[in-house]
Amino acid sequence: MIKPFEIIGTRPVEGLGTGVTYKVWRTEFSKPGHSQTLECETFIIVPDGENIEEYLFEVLSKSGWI
Amino acid sequence: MSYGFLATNTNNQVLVSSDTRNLHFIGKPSVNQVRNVIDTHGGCRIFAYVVSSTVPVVPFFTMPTSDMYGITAIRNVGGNTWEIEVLRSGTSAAQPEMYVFADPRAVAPSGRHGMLVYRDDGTPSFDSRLRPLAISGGLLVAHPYNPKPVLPYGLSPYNCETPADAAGGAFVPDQVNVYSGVATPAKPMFSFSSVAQAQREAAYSAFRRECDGFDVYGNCVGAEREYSWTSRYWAFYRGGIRRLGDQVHAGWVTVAYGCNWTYMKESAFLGIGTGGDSGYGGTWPYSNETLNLAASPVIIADASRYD
Repeated sequence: MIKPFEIIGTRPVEGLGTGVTYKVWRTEFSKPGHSQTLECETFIIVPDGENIEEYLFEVLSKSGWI
Repeated sequence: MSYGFLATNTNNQVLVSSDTRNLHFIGKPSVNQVRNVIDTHGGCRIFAYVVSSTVPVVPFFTMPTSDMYGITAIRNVGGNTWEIEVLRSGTSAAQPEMYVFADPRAVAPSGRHGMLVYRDDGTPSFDSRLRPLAISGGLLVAHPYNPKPVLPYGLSPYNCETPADAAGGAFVPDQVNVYSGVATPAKPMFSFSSVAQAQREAAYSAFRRECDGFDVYGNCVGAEREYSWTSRYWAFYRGGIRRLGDQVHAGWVTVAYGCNWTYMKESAFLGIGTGGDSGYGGTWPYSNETLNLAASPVIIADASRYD
């Protein structure tokens, strides 16, 4: 799995799952030597029983980051 | 007790007792002030009412729209003057009607017919001349943990330049817990205190690297510049309820929002830095947190009895 995201921290959310603070990024090149990376750091709750990385990948794919 | 008065129902629950105090209707104040006006992020209004009472008050409000409502403050502002605040989501001009109750020490009754019960200290416990509060129902509600589960890509990282009406769309709370089969009278009024709180934020960053020369395996031979921008958009929410038919929904209202930005530029020539340094660290006190999610009571009564 290509993972242009990083999990910064997790904490349990009772009755719901795991609260995950994460960072996701994408890099664009406007011309040789010139690049720009856009990054978003935010929070999501991954339900109990779900694999955190797979869940994040699916959410980020649907939202347009990946 | 060896003396006094006691009235119970068929379930042996106390209706009137000289050992307790019943709540009675003391007034229906109009909106004194509209505060915290927000027209983005799902909208917000806080309506302030003022009432006079010698004892603490218990307010009930109607919900004229399908927005979220909740009591955010009951405070004594001096002497016998009490201020009540009711929160509402949305941007309409509709205002909840306010019905205020207190124990019978609060106001002097008029009329000479009815039933009056005293406590052993000589103060009134129940006075039928003051229209006692009759409860018709109630429930416990809990709010969903996350007002807005997923924040989308697209807010600007540059100096918080996404305007509030666009950023607000990203933060509009859209999660509710639904409670069905809630019976309500013809003109229901509710007593519900907004206790649950939540904060949500997302930081959007942009890093730009420009090399005016030769870029050899990631190393710039020539003039190099690096820029970074970070904009942290946030919203703060309070819990509310709304009624839709025989359902009560527990959801969220945005009561504050904002954005914090940083910008940094670093320059180098032939690999030698020509200026720039920065650092950051530590933790924020509340970052993507939800507080006070324990179930809260919603008490329902018939407002038409007090019109």
